[in-house]
Amino acid sequence: MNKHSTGLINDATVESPSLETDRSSIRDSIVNATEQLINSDKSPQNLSLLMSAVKDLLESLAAGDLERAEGALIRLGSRSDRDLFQEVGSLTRGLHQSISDFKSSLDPKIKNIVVSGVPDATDKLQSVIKMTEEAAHKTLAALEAQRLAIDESNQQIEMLEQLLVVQQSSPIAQSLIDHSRRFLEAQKRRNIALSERNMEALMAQSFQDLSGQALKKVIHLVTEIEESLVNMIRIFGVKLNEQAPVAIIDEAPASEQLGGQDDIDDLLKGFGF
Amino acid sequence: MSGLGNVDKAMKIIVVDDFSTMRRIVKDILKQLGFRHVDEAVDGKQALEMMSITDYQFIVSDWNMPNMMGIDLLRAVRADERLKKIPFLMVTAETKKEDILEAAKAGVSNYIGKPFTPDVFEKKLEQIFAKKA
Repeated sequence: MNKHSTGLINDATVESPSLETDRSSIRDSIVNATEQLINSDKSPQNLSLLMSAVKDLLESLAAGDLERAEGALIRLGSRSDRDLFQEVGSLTRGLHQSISDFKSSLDPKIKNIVVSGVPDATDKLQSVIKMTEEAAHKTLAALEAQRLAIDESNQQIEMLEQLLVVQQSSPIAQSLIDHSRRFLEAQKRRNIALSERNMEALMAQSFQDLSGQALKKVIHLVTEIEESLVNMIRIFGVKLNEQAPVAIIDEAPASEQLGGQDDIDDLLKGFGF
Repeated sequence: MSGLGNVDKAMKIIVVDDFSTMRRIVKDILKQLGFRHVDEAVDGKQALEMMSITDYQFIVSDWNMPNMMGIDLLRAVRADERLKKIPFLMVTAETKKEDILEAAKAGVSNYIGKPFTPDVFEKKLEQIFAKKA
């Protein structure tokens, strides 16, 4: 007889109230463990662990070692919960690590993009719109001046044509008049062609409007991305007001760029040029 | 350029566009067609303010503008007893079918997609004023 035997297994004829309670408790545990077994994860690894616990239970019961049997039952009954807690714990640690990694990767790269990169990029796009606008206006001004010159030329031709209708008795004078009239005719045709080319050049300046609208859409999109990045960075607790230590865009920010040669000369004056 | 012989070239026209380049181009074309009185507005809001002071006989407007879009200007004009009969030409890069339909429903007089040629512009003007006459 095993030293742990209390009569539960080997001496069923002698029963006390406490023994009855133990049996009832072990029966409940077996029912619970069986349910767990039925509903448990059926992976080979898990089954192997379960089988080992079942073996332990049967051996300990056969040996009358109730303490060990109870331990085996608890292991059997609590397996799935323990797995779940372990899995949740592992996920939590992984998430925490990912957040830490992400936060360290945000600072300084993403932060620099938000603090200087994006505003700089949108400034540059704005300046492209401005530059093309100015260039288009210069072209339009030149074309308008040309238009006036063509109109004036046409008025002169009209006036001269009216003057040159008179017939001349002198063949030389008549020849001169005929020649002049032919010249005026040719000039009128040239003016028409000039006028058409002028209009083509005028219409071509509408590129500024179309390209400008496309750029404005890009600026809008970039600004929205910037806002999302700012929110994300704030969520992860990175301060934005610090000076960016590393320049993502190598060129100087737009605010530092000089407007033209006059600004450059003014700056040079400060250095004694 | 002809076909607009019967149209009053002294009529007051307002060109509405947030891009100064396009305002100037449209103004130049109108001047080349003989129209002498052409004003400019940067958006629908400014256009409405100007219309409350001056009696314009023709509106040329872009669609996509800050403060007040061209389509909203069109609706405001059509809803105003004093302005509702003014011909309204939409000149815009928005050439999606639903946009054109929306403008048509709102009472646009004609619709030009950018980029356009002066011939197309003149033809649309002829159509607008032929219908009006």
